[in-house]
Amino acid sequence: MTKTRAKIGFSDELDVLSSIGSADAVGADLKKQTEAARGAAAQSGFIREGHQQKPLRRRRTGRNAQFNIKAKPETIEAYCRIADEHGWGLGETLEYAVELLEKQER
Amino acid sequence: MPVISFANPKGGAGKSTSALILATQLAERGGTVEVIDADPEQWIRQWAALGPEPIGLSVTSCTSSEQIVEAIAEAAQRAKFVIVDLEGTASLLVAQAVGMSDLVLIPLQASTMDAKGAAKTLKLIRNQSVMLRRPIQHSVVFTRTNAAILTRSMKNVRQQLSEASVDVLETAIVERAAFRDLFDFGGGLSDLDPDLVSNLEKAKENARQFAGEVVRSLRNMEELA
Repeated sequence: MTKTRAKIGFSDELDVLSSIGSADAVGADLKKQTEAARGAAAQSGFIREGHQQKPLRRRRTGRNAQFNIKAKPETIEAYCRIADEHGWGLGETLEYAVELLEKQER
Repeated sequence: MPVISFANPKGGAGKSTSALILATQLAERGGTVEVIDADPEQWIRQWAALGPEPIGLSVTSCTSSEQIVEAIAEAAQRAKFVIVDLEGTASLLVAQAVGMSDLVLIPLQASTMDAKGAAKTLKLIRNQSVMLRRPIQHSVVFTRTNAAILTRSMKNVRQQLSEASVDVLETAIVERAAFRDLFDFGGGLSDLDPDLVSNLEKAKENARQFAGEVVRSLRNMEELA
């Protein structure tokens, strides 16, 4: 083998070591700590988002049960049209429909 | 008390395995150890779910870069040793944890890919040290090495590390079935059945030496401080 192996880059930026000051207590100031880490992360290419915890949903409707039904296409079309005209969701429309029917029955 | 992080943005370098070996060894010797599993894969949490953890060892989870600093600070109040197993990504979470560490161990298999991940971690440590105005102690740990042969690529990585004056732990984690089996059976090495796991005694000796060397490094740091 005549080829030499490529440099891995362990000594990159070794020059910055000379500017290290005396040791401070770990985590003495967590806020400062966090900011320093942000700066160093950006400089060193540690910029991946990593694992993100799922953000909380802003709108909770409480409509969380599945309700599958079969209907005629024209009924579905009419149902969706009514919902769209009012700017309602399909679950919301169902609640209004049930409310109306209950009123009628009384 | 001392916070030891295992970091290498390259996946499969041996972070979780070496973190677990160290944690179980320290706990078996009577230390209180808290492992913070900061890897979204949650390998150490999964290990803990398998069965009784050694007495004195507890595992918590934190995979948020917003919360990791506080999680480490709190754990350091509770346990004698805090061990952080980091994700194999160059993320802000890793940077935050490194900044909170007394000792960063950089596991790597003797391959250029692992070594490049290690080089990236070394760069991060250096930048962090400058920003925080304190040195962050760190060492490279060779993992999954062959007990019998020193490969050419291992020689190459070792030589380049030595040229760059990077500290390398004398003890390498040898490729042993017992270390893999920990993740199948739960518990520590002493809970494994010697009839079912080959070379268990050698694995135990390797683990003892590794943990011993880490403790010596920590002790030296304390003396210097």
